[in-house]
Amino acid sequence: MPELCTTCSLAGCGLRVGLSKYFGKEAVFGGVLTAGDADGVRWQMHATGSFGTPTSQPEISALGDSSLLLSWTADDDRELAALVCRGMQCLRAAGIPGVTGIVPGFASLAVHFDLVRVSVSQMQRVISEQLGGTSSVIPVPVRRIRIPVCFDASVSPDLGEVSQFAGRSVRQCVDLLCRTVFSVRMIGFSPGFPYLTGLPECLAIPRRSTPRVKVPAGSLAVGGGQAGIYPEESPGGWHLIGRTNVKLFDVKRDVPCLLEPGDEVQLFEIATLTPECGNHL
Amino acid sequence: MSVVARVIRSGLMTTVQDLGRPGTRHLGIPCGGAMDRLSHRLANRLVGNPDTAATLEMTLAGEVLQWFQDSVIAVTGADMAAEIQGPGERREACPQGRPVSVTAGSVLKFGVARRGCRTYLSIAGGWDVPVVIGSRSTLLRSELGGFNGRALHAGDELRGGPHEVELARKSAEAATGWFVRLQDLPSAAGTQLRFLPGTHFGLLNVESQRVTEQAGFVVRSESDRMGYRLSGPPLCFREPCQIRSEAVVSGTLQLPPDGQLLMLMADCAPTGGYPRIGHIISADLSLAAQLKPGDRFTLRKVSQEMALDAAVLQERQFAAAVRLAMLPACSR
Repeated sequence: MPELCTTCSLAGCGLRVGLSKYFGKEAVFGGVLTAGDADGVRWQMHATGSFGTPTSQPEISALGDSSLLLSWTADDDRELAALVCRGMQCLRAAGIPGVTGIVPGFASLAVHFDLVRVSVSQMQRVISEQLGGTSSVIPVPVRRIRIPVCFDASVSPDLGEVSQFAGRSVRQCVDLLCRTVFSVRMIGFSPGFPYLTGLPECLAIPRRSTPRVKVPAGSLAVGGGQAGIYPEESPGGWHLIGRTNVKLFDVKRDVPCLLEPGDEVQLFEIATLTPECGNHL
Repeated sequence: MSVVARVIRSGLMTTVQDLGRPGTRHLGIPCGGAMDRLSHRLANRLVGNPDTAATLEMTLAGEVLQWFQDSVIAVTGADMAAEIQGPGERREACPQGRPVSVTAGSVLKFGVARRGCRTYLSIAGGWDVPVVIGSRSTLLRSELGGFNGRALHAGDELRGGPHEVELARKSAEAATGWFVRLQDLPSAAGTQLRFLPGTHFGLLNVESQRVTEQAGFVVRSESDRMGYRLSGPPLCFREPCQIRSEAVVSGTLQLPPDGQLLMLMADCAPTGGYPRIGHIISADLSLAAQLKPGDRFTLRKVSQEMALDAAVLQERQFAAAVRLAMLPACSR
């Protein structure tokens, strides 16, 4: 069982992070949005966020004739993440007619639209207005989702190698991972696969030289300075350091994807993957 | 709804498709949907369906279907020499581009694509499979949506009718002597696809920029609904070009380090990590979807204005053709 919360009376989210630095000077708030029972495993979702205006205009370029790519630059990677995320939330809230999808990348945001309804140049104008105006200040909570992970040697074949790379014990590495607040920069590779940034530098091991043909579903993996969790069994080139029994993607759920770009993720350790949750592993 | 048809013999790869899942690309879910949207939409309109109804997309060679109910269907896209075998062994060609009545007991037979690659089969009321994440389209890689997330097999039973249709019966009765064809299929003489330069086009060396427009490209056999591998003159950048993953779209021309282009298609992932040298314009995507392995084409660079004009013109022609098709026979 995860420890009880000290700050918001439910879950151990003592790690509220003030994101105001990146967004402006508005207050940080916290609280539990929801806690769920996914496949018999508790995950928890908190709101810890802030609001303000995007601090810079992106460079806008065309991606074909019915998509625009909005690119930001920033010295600091977390700041870059915040800018992309803010832009996404702002444009989503604006509900621009003709827009069919808004897809974040690492340093950019794609806005897809129906070109028969609105042309590239019209859309470019609307987006600039939306991102520049003060009307775009909408409070958006940042969800923090706590995900149980088992770090037992049986499900973490590469944890030893990663700990050697980090020059720390396996225990120290696990503690470090559980203290880290990751953020979901984008979802890609396969449905529901989160690219998590915020990995401590000592754990930033390069990808494996030979990718595995089969990575089990639920595997927590690190590679190339990022972390991720494989929602389904697939090939993969990252190092496997743990496993969760939470299903990140399940078409049978009303909301198939547990995580969305902009979410924060915190891991907590569980001793074993309970057998009743093993059916999808 | 009861069973409308059963697959007697499956084609090479036939999937249920609609307009896909454009709104969940930020969750890593490909947009997907019909590769040749124009043919898919036309097949639907000819039987009175909305564009969003599901059709069957047959690839290179089609099915043989046993029919159990009187139905109104339409066939569009690649020419697979479709044939209707009536209950009394009477055989007749099944015309394309107009509504056709099929009676219970008939067998509808598709052959090998003579021209083009993908044929669409609609039924008045639409094909009925469960809606998964907002769409009936099949995403093969994730085994999601469509008919149990896979291509059709012999023995599969197809149901129809999630959409309300009134016009179909009348238009099928009236449909003789005319057909609608909206695009020329790729021919042996070669096909031209128009493209807009991508973010990294200017980073190609001068020779590569020039040759992109002058050389021919061939669709390789390792091509599928996610994308086409092309063979052509090797292209290279002035200096190595590394990018972080960002959005790609159907039609994006990616250049991996081996110098041979990839043309992303309907089931492409929403993001990709290879440099983007161009994007096939929206108006030419349906034509691109009709290329088959071995087909040759050339690329022509155009402007945003030309891309928009082409899309608007195509939409206007589509609307006009559909209007004409729906007129009563006497006033046509």
